[in-house]
Amino acid sequence: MKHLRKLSYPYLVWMVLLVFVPTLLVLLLSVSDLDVFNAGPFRLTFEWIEFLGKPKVTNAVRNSIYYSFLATFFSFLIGYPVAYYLASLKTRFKTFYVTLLIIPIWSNMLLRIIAWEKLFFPISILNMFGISFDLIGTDYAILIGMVSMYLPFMVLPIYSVLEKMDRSLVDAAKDLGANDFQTFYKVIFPLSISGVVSGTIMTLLPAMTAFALPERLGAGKIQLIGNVIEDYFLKTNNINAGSLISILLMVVIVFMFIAILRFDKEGETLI
Amino acid sequence: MKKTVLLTAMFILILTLSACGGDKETLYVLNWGEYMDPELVEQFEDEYDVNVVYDEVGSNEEMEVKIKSGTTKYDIAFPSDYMIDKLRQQGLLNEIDYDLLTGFDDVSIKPEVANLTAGKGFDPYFVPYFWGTIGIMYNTTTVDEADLTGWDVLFDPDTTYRIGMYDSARDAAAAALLYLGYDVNTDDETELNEAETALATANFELFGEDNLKGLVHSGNLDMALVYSGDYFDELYVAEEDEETIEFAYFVPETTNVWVDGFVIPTTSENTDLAHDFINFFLNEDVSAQNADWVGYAPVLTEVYDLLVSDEYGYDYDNYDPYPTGASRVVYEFISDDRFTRLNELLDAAKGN
Repeated sequence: MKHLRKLSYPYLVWMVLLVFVPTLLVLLLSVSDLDVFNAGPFRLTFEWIEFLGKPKVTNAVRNSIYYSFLATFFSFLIGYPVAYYLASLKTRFKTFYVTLLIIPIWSNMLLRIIAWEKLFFPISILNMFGISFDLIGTDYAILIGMVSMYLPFMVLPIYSVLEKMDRSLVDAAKDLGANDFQTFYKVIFPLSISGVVSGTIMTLLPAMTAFALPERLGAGKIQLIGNVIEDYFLKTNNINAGSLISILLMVVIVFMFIAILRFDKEGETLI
Repeated sequence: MKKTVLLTAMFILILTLSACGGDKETLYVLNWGEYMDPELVEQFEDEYDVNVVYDEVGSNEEMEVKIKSGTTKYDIAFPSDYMIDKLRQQGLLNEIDYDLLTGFDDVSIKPEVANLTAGKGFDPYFVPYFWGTIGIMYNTTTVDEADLTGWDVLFDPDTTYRIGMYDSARDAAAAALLYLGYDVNTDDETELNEAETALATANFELFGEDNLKGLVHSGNLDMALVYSGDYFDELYVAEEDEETIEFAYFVPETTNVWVDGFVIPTTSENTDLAHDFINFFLNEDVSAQNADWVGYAPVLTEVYDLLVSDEYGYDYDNYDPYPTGASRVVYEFISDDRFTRLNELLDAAKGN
């Protein structure tokens, strides 16, 4: 076993060089006036905090929360029954059905976003079926896009918990006189809560940080926090302010993972 | 054993491959996508027995970052007017040595192009490459041409047209300033505030970049602010597919005209070869072939005349960025603070 450990060194070097060091750099940029393209002496400063009060940023934070929570809510409404149905299937095609759910993730996400974009314009391929949407730039476009994009992340953790659940507990509940509804909310749902928490966070995170999706489906008008970071880095050269927002976002993400681990100590629902 | 042989073989192969061309001179070029006929780059490599390393970027700001960071020591780049000005102000550009550009014995820059930047300070730092306008591309089936009176058609808050705006602070702000009758380079706070109001009250359906031309073409937008190059790209493709053309390009009386130019960054370690490269593209045949491939209006008088002649047939409306009698203004670099302000204007247009 010991010599196998050496095999992990390339990965460690990789992590340090390409994840740890850049993260430290972003952290440094967020609390200093270092000019990254013209590195020289710099001083520590917290002046970038004032960017957090700009309407561009506050609007983006509000949009991020609004769209990601709604998308997560709808994903849960659709995803839980799907996961429940899949877990209770007794056919030998079970794996096949689960694979069907995963297959869309195998295609490039940007392509799927652009596909939705094409369909949401009034003049589209759907016209030949007599259908015409005009959804680009609306809440519907973003929510449909997000739910379709992240639904598997909600279904899979819930499915994996329900799959392992001991079915005899359901029989016991029924023996003891619980009706179907009571069985569900007193036995099944509490047992699946770790999957629900994981699924919620797994959907919430990418939805909150999405930037290609709101840009394409939001007509370039709806900005999420990811778009603000992109603008600050690539368009308006506020790299330090962009770094500060990135760091704060990372903190939020870390807290969310702590939440998952509290509910799911073995991390079995994490895919 | 087999593995060792294989590894050694690969190692030797890599060594020989990387040794190839080791003693040839190398020219590092930084350009926009689809902005130079690759055949001509090969022809230059053969004629001068050099290697050309060719990188592409999507915006002037990216170009600036690449030149500044100096990780690749570029010999030639193609920024636009205001970025040439900005790079020059930061001391990142070499002056062009016109004595080395013998190509100018046979050709001349169109006087309209030369006059745009004459006396502007960054003039000695670049040789023009292509130029064009910003204007309004519109769908001829849905837009009443009588409505196309000027920039005001983009800024009517009660418009019934579906209008697309370029997701670029400088161009969106320029359209608003031109609509209000102000200078596109103004740094006057009240004028910029007025432009902000105009952008915020206007009714834009969508903010895009090079997707705008396709949306006007398909009819999903009625009109959009585009670069002349966007329109001509779409036109050439539609002509090749033998479609009926149902879109056109309207250029208001006064508009911005942009010029991209060859510049030689101070990182260049081979300025002589860089000048040779510029010279090569001053050749009439080379420049004509390049202009035919790229589709933008050439800056050389002789080449322009050749392209609009029957031989090439580029006598389209608005192919000439600066017809006699029109009024044209070129962007200048004012300050980073102003650019930040322009971005606030664009955010206001988006409703943020």
